[in-house]
Amino acid sequence: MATVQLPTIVVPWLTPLRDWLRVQPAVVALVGTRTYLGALPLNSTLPALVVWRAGGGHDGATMDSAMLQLEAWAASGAQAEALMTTAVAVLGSAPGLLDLTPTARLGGARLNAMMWAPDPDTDTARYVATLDVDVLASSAGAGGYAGAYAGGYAA
Amino acid sequence: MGVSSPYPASGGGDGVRVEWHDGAIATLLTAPDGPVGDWLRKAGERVEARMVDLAPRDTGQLADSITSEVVLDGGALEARIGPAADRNERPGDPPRSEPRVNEDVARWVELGTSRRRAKPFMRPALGAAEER
Repeated sequence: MATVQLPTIVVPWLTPLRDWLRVQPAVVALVGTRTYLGALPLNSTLPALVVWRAGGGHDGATMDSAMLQLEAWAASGAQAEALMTTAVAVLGSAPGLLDLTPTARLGGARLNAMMWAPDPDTDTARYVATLDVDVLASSAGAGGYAGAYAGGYAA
Repeated sequence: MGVSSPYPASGGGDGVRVEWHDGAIATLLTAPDGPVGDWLRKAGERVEARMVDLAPRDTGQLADSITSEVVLDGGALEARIGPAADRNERPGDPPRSEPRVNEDVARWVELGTSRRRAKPFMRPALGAAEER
């Protein structure tokens, strides 16, 4: 009997991740609910956090092996750095515990790089971090979720 | 330089003698055209090719400027991959006094700005190479 290799189903886990960050006390203490997906909204109040998928792929062992970009925007470099450090720590403490969707959970979030990258258009303070994120099938999932990754962004 | 092993071969007879050639080891590990350098160059070329594939092509200048080279830096071989300062600049060219336009362009294309959506092409290319 021939074996058919089915394409990997990628669940849209970014929005749930953003929603989860929006209720983390350490993050809320710094930015309220100003954690956005994809890009900083025009004329946004600072400080603010932005999260989006900058790249990655599927290695067969995970549901998604993503390169996550975090952006900490603030009025000063020190504020941006404190926000980024907090966000990275919060994400780093979540793996294995966080069910993002009924079928997907955060399996690991490792800081790859963090750099000072003030916005060249407005000179606003910004730290950018890249994290390697593994999204795994949730042990609690029934396996019936078949949503395709939309790839779109919404604030 | 030769180094004699203090351990005799099992069953008696002559001991094992290990010849350690510093020059040969150095060539192996640090010569850009040695086997390690050759492996690194091929890996760099794979990343470069992926980077070129992923680079946005408004004018093509950014993609055209992407190069890779293997250099010896601080006693270790290093692959340097990315956009050169301008489309005509290549590894080994003498330093220039003008701003390195493509490097700045590449940085903001990669990371995005408040007014321009990021189009990452360097980190994903490196990430793809790491997964191989």
